[in-house]
Amino acid sequence: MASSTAALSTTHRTPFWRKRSFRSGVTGWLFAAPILIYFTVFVFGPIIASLVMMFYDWNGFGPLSQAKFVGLANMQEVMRDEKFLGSFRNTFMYAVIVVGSGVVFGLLLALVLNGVTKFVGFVRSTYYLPVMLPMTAMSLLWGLMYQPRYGFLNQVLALVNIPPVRWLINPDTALLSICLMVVWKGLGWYMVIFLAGLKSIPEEFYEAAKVDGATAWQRFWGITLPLLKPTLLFVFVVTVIGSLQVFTPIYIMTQGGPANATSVVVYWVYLTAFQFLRLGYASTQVGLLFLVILVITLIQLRLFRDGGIRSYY
Amino acid sequence: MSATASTSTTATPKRHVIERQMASVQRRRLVRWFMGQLFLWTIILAGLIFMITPGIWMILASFKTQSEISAIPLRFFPEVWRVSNYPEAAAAMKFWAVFRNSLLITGAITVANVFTCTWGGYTFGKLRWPGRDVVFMLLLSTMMIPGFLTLIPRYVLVAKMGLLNSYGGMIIPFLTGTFGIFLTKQFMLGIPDELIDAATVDGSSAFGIYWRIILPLSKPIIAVLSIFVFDWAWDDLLWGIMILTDREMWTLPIAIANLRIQQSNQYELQMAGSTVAIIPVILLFLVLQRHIVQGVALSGLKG
Repeated sequence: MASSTAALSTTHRTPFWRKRSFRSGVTGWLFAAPILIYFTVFVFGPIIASLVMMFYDWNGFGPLSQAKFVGLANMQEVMRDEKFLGSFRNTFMYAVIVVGSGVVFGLLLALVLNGVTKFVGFVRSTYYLPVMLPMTAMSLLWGLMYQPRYGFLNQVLALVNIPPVRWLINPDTALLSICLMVVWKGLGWYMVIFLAGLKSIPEEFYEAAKVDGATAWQRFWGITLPLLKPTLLFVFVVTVIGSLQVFTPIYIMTQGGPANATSVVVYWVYLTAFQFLRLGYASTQVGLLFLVILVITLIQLRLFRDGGIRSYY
Repeated sequence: MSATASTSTTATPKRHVIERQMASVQRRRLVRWFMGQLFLWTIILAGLIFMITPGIWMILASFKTQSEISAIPLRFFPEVWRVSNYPEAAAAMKFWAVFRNSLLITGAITVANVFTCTWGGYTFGKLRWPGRDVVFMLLLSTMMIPGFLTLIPRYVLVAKMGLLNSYGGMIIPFLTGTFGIFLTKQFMLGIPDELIDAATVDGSSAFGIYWRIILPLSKPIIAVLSIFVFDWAWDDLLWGIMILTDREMWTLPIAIANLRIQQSNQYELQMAGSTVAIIPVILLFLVLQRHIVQGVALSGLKG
């Protein structure tokens, strides 16, 4: 607006609506308008609605006027809700295990693959394949492989004389079993991203370090890891947000069992909203997880600040 | 070669010593290189086996009888290849209706995203207008917001619009995405401005430029984008079980999840259904694997 008034006062012959800068400004806003309207309806609006619903009690049916304002009652309930808090703990365990092992094994694999020259394309694609495969089908498959008596995994373990594991049936191993399957499925993604990061590090750095007599170990800690910082930030932010929202494998493989050992927040929210029909209370649970994700993301952004965040966000 | 130059001044016996030493150094270096490669390839191959065995086992199991799948000791190959598992699974899943629903919904979402995301990429990457960067940052900030935060209000919205149990309810909330807009915008920074300026001088409108210049030039990023969107939409379970309660409207993920519940002991049907569900993705992957892997690498490098 400031620029258009300035244009008005300084030019006498061409009115501002004929000016090229004004016209391109109008065009830009016209182009952006459908996107902005869509985002207002389907993203910004729902975000605000979600925050408002935290203070209401509503079953989701009938007119919105039936929603009852309950103040902080939902908040108080959530703090005492053992099942929700248990789901919260499980979700965290899951995220830490999945992201942690994904990063460690993905980086190791990328380093290994960075050391060979033949068949790299083929190997990369094969590792990436499970990433593409539908989680629903893979959950069904692994659910069967985890069958304790005649499942594929226990039979293979029996070949090397390892006693059978009660994968999904034992509350102590159920969540870990789901993590194993998710890591298997996601490993290729981590590897491809890290491999691209490794390839972007200039070879001269390593050569210079070699001349100075640095060992492979020193080169990894001194060059590779610091220069991978932007890649690591991207991987951590994306996978933490993603894995805290896990739903599909839980829904198909365990339905939260045994003894709530694999119940996670989004699964529990789904039950609260659509089985127990408590949309307001479910929104409070969502809000709490959101708050935690926000804090974690901000911490990550701060931890990796020197790694060139500007190029990312 | 420098050794031969130095021999003219030094004694001859030393030359043999140097040559022998060099040969042994080279041999040792070769052995070390070979051992290193052997080590790396052992890890790679072990990993490859770990990655592909479950999938192969699934495909084989889809041709077995139920008792073969649960046989002790393990039977890796079926005795008779039972192709009839497939029509049986198809009947149990109402496969054709389900497959058609999935294809329609996923296809519509993918096509819509191709247009909306390139449109957004052009608007925020190439058009110049006041407030553009502020608006873009606002959109980008939603990338940090997990999708489930909007899940319940969006469900209420779709229900109020009367779109439960409809294709519209599955498609309309997913017509565009921040990540796709961001990805195409990054790509469009590489399209030279001169091209657009020249078209403007020739009298092209902004829309004409989008349609005739931007869209055709964006083919590589469109390939990457459509794979991402297709792969995600094809596998979406949570939104489906919220919106689609009517069996006729189910998508493939819902039908597959239901196999676990309703045909809980018919493993051969579960595996046949799962195998069919991965076919479109495998086909897409075989045709476009180079684009896919490069696209993922790109998304990691540029954000």
